[in-house]
Amino acid sequence: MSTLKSAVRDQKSFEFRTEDSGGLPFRKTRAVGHRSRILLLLGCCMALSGCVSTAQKQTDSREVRFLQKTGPEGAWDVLEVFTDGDFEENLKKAVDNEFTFYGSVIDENGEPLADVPILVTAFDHVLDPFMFPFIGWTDIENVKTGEDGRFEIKNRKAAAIVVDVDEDGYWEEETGFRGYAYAEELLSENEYPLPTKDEPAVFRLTPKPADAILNPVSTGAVRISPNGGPIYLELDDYSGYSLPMGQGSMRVFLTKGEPNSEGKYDWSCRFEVPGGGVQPRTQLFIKQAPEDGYAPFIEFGYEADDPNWDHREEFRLFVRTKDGLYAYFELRARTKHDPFISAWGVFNPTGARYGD
Amino acid sequence: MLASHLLPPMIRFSLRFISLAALISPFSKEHMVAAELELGVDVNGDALIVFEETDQEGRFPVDTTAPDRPFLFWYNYDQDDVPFYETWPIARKDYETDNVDSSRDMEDFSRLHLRFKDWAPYMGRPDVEIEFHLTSTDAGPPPGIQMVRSADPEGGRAYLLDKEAAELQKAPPFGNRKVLLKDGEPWSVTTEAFDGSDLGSKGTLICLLFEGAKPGKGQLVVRLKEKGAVVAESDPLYLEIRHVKTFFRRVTTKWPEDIQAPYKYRVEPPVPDLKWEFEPMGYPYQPAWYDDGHTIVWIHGWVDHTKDNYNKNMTHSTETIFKRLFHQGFRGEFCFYHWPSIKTYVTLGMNGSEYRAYKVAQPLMDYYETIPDDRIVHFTAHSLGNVVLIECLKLGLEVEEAIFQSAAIPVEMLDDRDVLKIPNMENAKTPEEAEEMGYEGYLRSSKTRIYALYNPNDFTFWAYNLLQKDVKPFGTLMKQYKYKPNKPEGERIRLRYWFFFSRPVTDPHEAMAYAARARTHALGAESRTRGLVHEVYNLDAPPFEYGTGHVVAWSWNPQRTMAYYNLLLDLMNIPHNSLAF
Repeated sequence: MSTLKSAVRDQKSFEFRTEDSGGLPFRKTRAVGHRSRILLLLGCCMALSGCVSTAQKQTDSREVRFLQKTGPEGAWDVLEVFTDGDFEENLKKAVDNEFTFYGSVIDENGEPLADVPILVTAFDHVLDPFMFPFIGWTDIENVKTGEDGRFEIKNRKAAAIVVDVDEDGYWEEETGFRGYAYAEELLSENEYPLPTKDEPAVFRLTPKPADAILNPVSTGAVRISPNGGPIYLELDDYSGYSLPMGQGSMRVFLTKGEPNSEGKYDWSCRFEVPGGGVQPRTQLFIKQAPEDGYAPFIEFGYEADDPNWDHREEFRLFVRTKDGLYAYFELRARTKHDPFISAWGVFNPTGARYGD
Repeated sequence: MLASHLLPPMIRFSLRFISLAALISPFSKEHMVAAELELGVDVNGDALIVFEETDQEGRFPVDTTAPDRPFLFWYNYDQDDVPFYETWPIARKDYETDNVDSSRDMEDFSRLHLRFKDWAPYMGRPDVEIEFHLTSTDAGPPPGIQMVRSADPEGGRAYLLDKEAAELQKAPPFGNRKVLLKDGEPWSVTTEAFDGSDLGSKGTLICLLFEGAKPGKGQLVVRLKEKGAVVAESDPLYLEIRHVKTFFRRVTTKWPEDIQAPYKYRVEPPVPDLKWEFEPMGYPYQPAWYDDGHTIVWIHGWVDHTKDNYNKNMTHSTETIFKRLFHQGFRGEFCFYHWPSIKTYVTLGMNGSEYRAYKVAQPLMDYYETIPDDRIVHFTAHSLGNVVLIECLKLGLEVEEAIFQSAAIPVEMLDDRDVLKIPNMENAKTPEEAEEMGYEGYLRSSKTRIYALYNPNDFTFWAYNLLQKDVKPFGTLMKQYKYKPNKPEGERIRLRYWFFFSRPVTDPHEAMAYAARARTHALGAESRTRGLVHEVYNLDAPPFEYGTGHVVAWSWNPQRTMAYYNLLLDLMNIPHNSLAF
């Protein structure tokens, strides 16, 4: 496993959600007869299919690896309540809670908002193999508010869910999302009452503030400087080359040693933000960059004799520049051939911490 | 503005003017102030156009051309005039039109920068001309290009990366006026056509986009002329315009016409003797002078070969894939593997295509053996083409990485964990493990790093699951594959025909393609995959956002898909360009 040396790594974890995905622009069929044939064919297919299963988006290996890299130390301590006895069995029991969630989305004036997409993440299974972060999640798709602004999630089981109301230009200002625990051991963690049909969870959307602006961080591949010196970077530079020496708010030292007989080599990537700071993202759900907890640098890499040696690695980072700008991006180091780094994410040019 | 001066009458006027001016003031450098006019294109594919004088302390490599190192680009022969995909058959070529046809058409344009120390004093004057002269550098005719004014005065790549920028670029006054340079004839425009908004922030750039309009090798020279006298003349910019098919290699394996689908044989089906061959399609591959040593072998998915569909597919998908990789900085060899997938009226030929896919892996391996050892080789496949890829790995393929894109193969071939079993397929009557000619654990080890790109909402995999659940074991009215687990080994899978007769199925390829049923989702739909797969990437998540799409990478416009090509290049450890502009 890559080593991560940083002043801070005990936050809770991750992943920005953005607008919904666009569908394919299907062409309209012109002739009614043609349409009828298609409908007939589809009908036959549906009848034939019976209950053909479709896949769901569940915790993937990249997400698990991301959480493992930032380390279990201190993270997800909420799961400690399940460690009394057989941890795995306790978690399996916890995710086996059937629930129905009732929600309602209104605007600033209390009027119901129809057709608002709802992002729901259900912590509903135990990871196999059983390892940190132990509990996995499923994205519940196609949840939207009806004409009365209400929505329901039913016939599901989970230990907890996170509900994120997502509408272009609007959000629930307080947190942007809410967590609801259904496992008995976690009920005391609830900040909000569990909703009922008569008293649904009410999400009041307000326009996003003017400073909730996101500009892209997309450096492309930036190769090691020919002189072996550091790579100087700026959030809004996308030239693909290091800035001149000393310029830029960030710098990267990417070093690569000589390969051994197995072709493995020591390499390291040290990312510095002089006058500012950096911290790995460890929280699953977060819409603002943390205010505190930044370290002057992080460093990761592998030694050639590391049994988990790899020639590439990446970390998701919050960055605060010396000018007080906040950014969130994935920093990638690739050392296999011509070594290069790249960063992909967003930054807020106003100095606000919003980073939805 | 430039637009009004790019109308045909003005072109004719300018040509007449040039002819007259040439008599009075031949192109003599005696009249020149200095050769400070420079032409720039992105020769090295790093997304920058770097002139020598702007190079800062060696920060950026300079883009230079030479007769033997020309800027290579393709001519725009396809028809990108519809909002989604492309028109087929091609009724008229994009380079024959006066307009930039669509956002998709943008990927057939490259950038041309004219740099001068200070354009401002020469702008907006009827007595100052910019003359373009594209002539041949070999015995053949000169290439042809068509130019449009860049909507971005800084001459950036937004037209390729941003939907709104592409809309702006294709609209008047930018994309609706093309200027054709061909047949070695000079063309000029007075600087009345320009105003301050055309010049970059430093006042030194005039930025154009151009498409190839005619093949050939040539040199472009631009002259700035004041009252007919040459004020500045650029050094030649060497260009080579070719058919896009010459930019990538095509390798094909054909299916023998006399060998039918295995279920049509009452005895052991014949084993086809398959050989790979190059597929020039009239445009043999020509290696580029800048080749960087990487080779990407791309295996296509299920392609209908009836009628003209393969040619259509070649243009719509493979050429598009190459173009997008090129724009994102790939400068290696792109090799397309064409295999004989088939379409039939039964299951669209998916079973037969899967069977053939296993068989054509060996000839691909034979081709792979011919690739020089010093090349860095990457394999990737899309959809059903991943059957070819996994069979190559089974045959011992050892390359940098194998990237399974939207793979229509069962996850259980690479990851046999029970947790991945689909509940309503878990107890399906089927051979299970690979040792019994089922899918599970078909690939138990590989020295190649494997990545999988998945999308749980990909609509194709609903049909894939339908095929596994309700169509397999495959059967027709008179022939039917049967699986009887209680029979002795070697007798469990049989092809029954005419009710009374049957033969055992002994070929795992036939068994998997026709009789075995996947008990897991397709690799291209499953998020939880581990096993031999090093890492998975969700194509429904930002920045890809494929939705229900399966062939988004080439069916959608480039402005929405370049992140995907960056992902591929990143997984191959190949440097790639920024997505910002």
